[in-house]
Amino acid sequence: MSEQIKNNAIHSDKSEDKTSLSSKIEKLGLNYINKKKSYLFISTLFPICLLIINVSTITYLFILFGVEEEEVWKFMHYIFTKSFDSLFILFFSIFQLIFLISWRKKIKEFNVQRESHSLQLSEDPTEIPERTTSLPRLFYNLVAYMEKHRIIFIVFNFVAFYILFFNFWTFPLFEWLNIFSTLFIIFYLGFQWFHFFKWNKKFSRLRTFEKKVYKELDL
Amino acid sequence: MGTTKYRTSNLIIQDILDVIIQMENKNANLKKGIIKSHLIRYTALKTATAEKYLQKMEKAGYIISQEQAWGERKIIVYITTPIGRERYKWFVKINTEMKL
Repeated sequence: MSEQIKNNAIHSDKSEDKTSLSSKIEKLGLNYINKKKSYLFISTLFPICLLIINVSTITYLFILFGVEEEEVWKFMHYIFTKSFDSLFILFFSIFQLIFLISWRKKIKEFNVQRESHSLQLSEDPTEIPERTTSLPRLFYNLVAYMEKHRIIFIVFNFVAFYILFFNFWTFPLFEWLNIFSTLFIIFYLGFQWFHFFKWNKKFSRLRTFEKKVYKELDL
Repeated sequence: MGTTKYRTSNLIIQDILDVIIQMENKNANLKKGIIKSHLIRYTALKTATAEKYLQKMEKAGYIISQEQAWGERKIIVYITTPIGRERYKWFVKINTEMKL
């Protein structure tokens, strides 16, 4: 078996095939990483905008709205809900932003290493720089992050549904802000659901692949 | 727990394949593959871990080792097999959600 594999490898050792595979993979990987970078940026931007809407609403309420005595509870409820939403959205955004910043740093590092690291046969192994990042590592960073993101997004859904429900009854003065915030949330949820639908399929394909490799290597 | 076990192993395997394929590309017109000690150093793996994975990968037919003369010394060079390249291609395909 191993002799046959050896022969196959040597005979199919067409360098142009290997060259095109490697550059194709690198190109694909980098394109994909850039695509995901844009997704993460948009994904972070939406909650931040929603947060701005919430904070503006609360500020607006405090500055302009004279609260009638009978509306104090309604007012308190409004403030409490918007503050809670804002805090959760802030947490969600920060979580995404932290990953985005660290991942971007790793991508930058990957690009630098890709350009500068070249291994020559004459080099002393001790002089070879240790690789701190690679395409598989970048992929797995993203996979690990998406798994966490998925859990937080499930909680975010409950918060979003509560905001949507809450937006239906409020002070008439804020109707336009509520409509804007409602549309915004619906669009954001749609955007994320579409994204996670694709990711769930990917998670299951990746798990199957990992099990197959694990079995083949008899680990 | 189970997923972590598969994931950790798979990351090491894909990382090794990635380095070998990269080197095959860079050295396309020179010597093929990568020297074992360079591979271990570059992937930043512990020698024992790297040895274990390299043996398993060779046994599974993902890579092959070739003994080559380097001056008066002998060196072990690793190259990928079509199966190894195929597995790496699958991995990239799944991750990039694209056809290759």
